[in-house]
Amino acid sequence: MFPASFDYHAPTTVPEALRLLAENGPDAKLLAGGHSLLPAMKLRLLEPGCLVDIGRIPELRGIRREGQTLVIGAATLHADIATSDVVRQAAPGLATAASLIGDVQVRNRGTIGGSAAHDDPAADYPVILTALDASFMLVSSAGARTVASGDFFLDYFTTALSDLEIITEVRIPGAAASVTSAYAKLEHPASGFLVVSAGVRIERGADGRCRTARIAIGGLGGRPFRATAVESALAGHALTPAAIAAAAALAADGSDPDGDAYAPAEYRRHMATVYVQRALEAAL
Amino acid sequence: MLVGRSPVGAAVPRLDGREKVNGSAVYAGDIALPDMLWLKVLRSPYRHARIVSVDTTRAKAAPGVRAVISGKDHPGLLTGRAMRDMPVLCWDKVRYIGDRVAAVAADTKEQADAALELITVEYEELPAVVDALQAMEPGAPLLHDDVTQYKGGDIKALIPEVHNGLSRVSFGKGDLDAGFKEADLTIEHTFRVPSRHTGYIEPHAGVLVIDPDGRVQVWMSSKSPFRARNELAFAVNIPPETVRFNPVLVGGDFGGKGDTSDLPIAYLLAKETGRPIKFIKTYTEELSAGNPSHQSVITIRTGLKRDGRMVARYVRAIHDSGAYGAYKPVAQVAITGVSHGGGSYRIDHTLFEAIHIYTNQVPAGFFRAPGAPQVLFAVESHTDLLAQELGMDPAEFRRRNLVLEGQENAVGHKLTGVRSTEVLEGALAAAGWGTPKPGKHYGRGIAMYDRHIPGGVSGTVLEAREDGAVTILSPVYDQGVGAHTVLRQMVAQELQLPMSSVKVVTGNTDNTPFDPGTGGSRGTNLAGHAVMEAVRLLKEDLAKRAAALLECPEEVVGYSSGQFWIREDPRQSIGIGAIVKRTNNAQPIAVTSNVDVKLKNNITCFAAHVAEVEVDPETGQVKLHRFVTAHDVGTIINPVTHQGQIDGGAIQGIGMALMEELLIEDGRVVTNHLGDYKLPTIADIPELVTVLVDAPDGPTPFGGKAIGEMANVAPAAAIANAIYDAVGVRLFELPFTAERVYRALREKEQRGG
Ligand SMILES: Cc1cc2nc3c(=O)[nH]c(=O)nc-3n(C[C@H](O)[C@H](O)[C@H](O)COP(=O)(O)OP(=O)(O)OC[C@H]3O[C@@H](n4cnc5c(N)ncnc54)[C@H](O)[C@@H]3O)c2cc1C
Repeated sequence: MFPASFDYHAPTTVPEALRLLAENGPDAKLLAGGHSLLPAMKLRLLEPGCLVDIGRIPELRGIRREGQTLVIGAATLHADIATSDVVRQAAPGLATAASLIGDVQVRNRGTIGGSAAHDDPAADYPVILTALDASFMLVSSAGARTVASGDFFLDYFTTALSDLEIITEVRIPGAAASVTSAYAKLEHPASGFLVVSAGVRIERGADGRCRTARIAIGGLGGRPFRATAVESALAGHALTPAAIAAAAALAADGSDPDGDAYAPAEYRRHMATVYVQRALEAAL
Repeated sequence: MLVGRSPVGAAVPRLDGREKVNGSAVYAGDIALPDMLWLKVLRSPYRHARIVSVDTTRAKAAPGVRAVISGKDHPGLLTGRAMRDMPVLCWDKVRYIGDRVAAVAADTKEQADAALELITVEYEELPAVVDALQAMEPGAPLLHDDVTQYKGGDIKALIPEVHNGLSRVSFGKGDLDAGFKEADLTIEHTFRVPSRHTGYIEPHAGVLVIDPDGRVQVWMSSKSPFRARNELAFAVNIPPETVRFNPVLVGGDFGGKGDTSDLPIAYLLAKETGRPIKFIKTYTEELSAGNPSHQSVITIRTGLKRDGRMVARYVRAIHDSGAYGAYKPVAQVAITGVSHGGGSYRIDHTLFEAIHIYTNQVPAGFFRAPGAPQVLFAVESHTDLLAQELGMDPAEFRRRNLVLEGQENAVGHKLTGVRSTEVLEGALAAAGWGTPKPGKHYGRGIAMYDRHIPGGVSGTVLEAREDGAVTILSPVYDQGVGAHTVLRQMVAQELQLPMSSVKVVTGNTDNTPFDPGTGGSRGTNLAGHAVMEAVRLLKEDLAKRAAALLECPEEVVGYSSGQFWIREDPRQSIGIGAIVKRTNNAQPIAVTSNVDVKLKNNITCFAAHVAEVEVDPETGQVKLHRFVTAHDVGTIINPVTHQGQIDGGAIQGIGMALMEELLIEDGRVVTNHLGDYKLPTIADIPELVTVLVDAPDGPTPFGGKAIGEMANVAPAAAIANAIYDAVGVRLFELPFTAERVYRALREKEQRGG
């Protein structure tokens, strides 16, 4: 179906975009890659009267290092993240996650900010960004604030973002030689979205042992599930295959996933273990 | 065997390829007429309910709306491809979520859609039943009061004595009880198959206009225009001759595109508004209220001798017909795949029966070899289980039981031209059966299938033209199988003309003779014999005229390559074009053939598949690495279209095995868009290896055999058998999703296996 009719604006700066948002009120929606928004509009699940296209704002695009922090503009494409050497080096798990999103067409249009704002419980970025302890720079005409991923992704399609805010940047700390990350995903055969996935971030000590681990799992509920039991089981230990397997067995501890016909809850819990283990193995 | 540069056997690209690639191909959805209105249908949100009242006042007043009708305005109209048990618009009760209740005609699609929401229907919900086995229980809610009251069904097949019973068909031979007594052991299994959608790319679409003189003109995505014409006429009580179906391309069919869809409603709205009416179903409507395949529960019991011979078999298939039998285009209102209950084997005492039951779900229809994919999954999985019981190699077990030349198959047909052994051995050799597997958790599985080549009536018009070319005016609407391409090759071959001198034009239902439409692997056989007969008639007609022009007796006129000549004096000759100019004022000379091609039950085509899979024991994911299909094919008239049928069929069968399932929860289709309903894409498909066992002795012109339904039927069993070989779990339910395989692995682990 065609979407209902709407006005279209293509600002070239963030302040201009903010002004358009404020002027058009709740009827306005930001448009980035359009790969979540437009399908919803075509199905008439959403009928915004006005679209503010932020895909053409140069300052929202790009990947750079600020010391130990990897900074990614919100309108940066999945494809650019998947193929960026800077990302591969600083946060390999993020590059992997981006490369597993949808297909080439989707990766050439979709953006990291759009995916984060949309917060589909089956999307890849929320999981890996939670594991990477990323934070989001949110800007409104009232000012800017930074929200950590743990406070940003709240529930199914629900984030801390307000209607008048724009995500401008995603900031990922800890780009250091001692830190590595990985992402592994069980895809739904029809949609390619995740059934279960795991993002892991491991910081090693000088002795090679795991100093800290951050592990997020997708597919166990409305927001990425922090596998704290696995994290504490790994912290301070040598990362032997046996230690990894033992820790991964705790992956779904404390989770309470909803099942569906394709993947019942029990299967999801088991897959959490399998994919945490696979992600840990990939990280090392 | 035909060799060299002859048209038959040449790898001619599809005639319709260019227009489809460049976008100029015309489908029903492309037809636009002046003042045309859009039709949208309001469907039932209940599985089973009485309609208390319908209020269309608000919808009628909505912008752009030209007419709103409901079943209350047109009570009692029933439709169906053969038996008419489905309301055009429900007037007293609805029987599934998606049943048609009311309809709007408006200037735009969006206005029509918006108006649907303004129709108020008051329902009184009734108890529903959504499981065929439960529906047969005496206390279950009853869908239809008396199935025998419906017109168009074969009363001998209907089963009013069964609660919610629709129909029963059976096949078999010998004495079943005696057979089971003879057996050393008796083994029984039950298998379950979910519903699938055929997955054609083009949704049903149609345009209907009533001309000022009362002529009803239709453009419709139907591969059976003659039958659909009759179906429309019967549904709205008008004589079939008043309706003309005009040619359009059909965007895929696979058995699902022969019905009239919303056409009867379009007629009612055209009558009311005096304007052309158009509809294009959404894919959500296709998936949730189209005509998917039958959900089936299949029980199979075999009496076995210790030496590996099968002596008796009983198969019972319970097919869930959904709310109506209307989508089954045969008077038996049945799918007859259960006739393959014996597989490709000799079994002396058999009974195979299929029972069709009404439930409050989306009505089921035909899907490429109707019923056979369901039944063969059961039969060929069961075959491996029997071999396993005897500790025998599955290939060896099959060798011992295969039907061979001159022998009777399990339903009593004595077969000739049998190549069962060559096909099986060909597949095994290509698959490296018995050789070491490439890795851990790899497995290989076999399955076989065979079917006859159907007959039926058909016809065609063939015209000779003043430029020396001929035109086939075909009643066959090519739904993508390449029918026209193949007919053109046959005519070119037979008339010894270059392919460029043979044109194919799709006729309408007025200017061509009846044809049932492509389906049942019969197209090349039926339409092929129709064009061959037309060629004979045309040559006869032209030879008479040539004799007159050459002033010689007809008997001495010879023909080759577009020229008629006097046998003793070949210098005296005259071409097709000159005959047309001189004897018919340059107007085309046309002949019409009508053929009745007899079904030859004693000729079948065999297929053997070998699947090679790898199973991830941690996730249950199955990766198909290789798929070999061997076919007994007769003369291949066109290797391109022939291979297309094999590859496309195999892919459809692989989809059935590994991913396709129309999920219906409490009567509601939940996989109602293609992001949820998984169809295979090329990324899911491994290397497909084809082995062709050819011998030019098939029943089609030039000795061809059937291919359309040879590769899609048995893959599911081959893959099930390969999974067992890989990780030792037996799956009794399709499809083999990761979670199902995982669950089976865990159950095996718990049993300590
Ligand atoms: C066929 C297909 C397959 C897909 N498969 C996957 C998959 O496997 N994994 C996966 O994770 N995703 C998948 N997606 C979703 C895809 O990644 C989307 O691109 C992404 O979810 C949204 O990004 P976008 O840039 O397209 O956002 P849009 O669709 O333009 O916007 C989405 C929402 O975010 C808001 N928004 C956008 N940018 C900002 C911003 N900077 N600040 C605040 N709000 C903003 C919009 O207003 C809107 O509400 C798939 C999509 C399709 C169509």
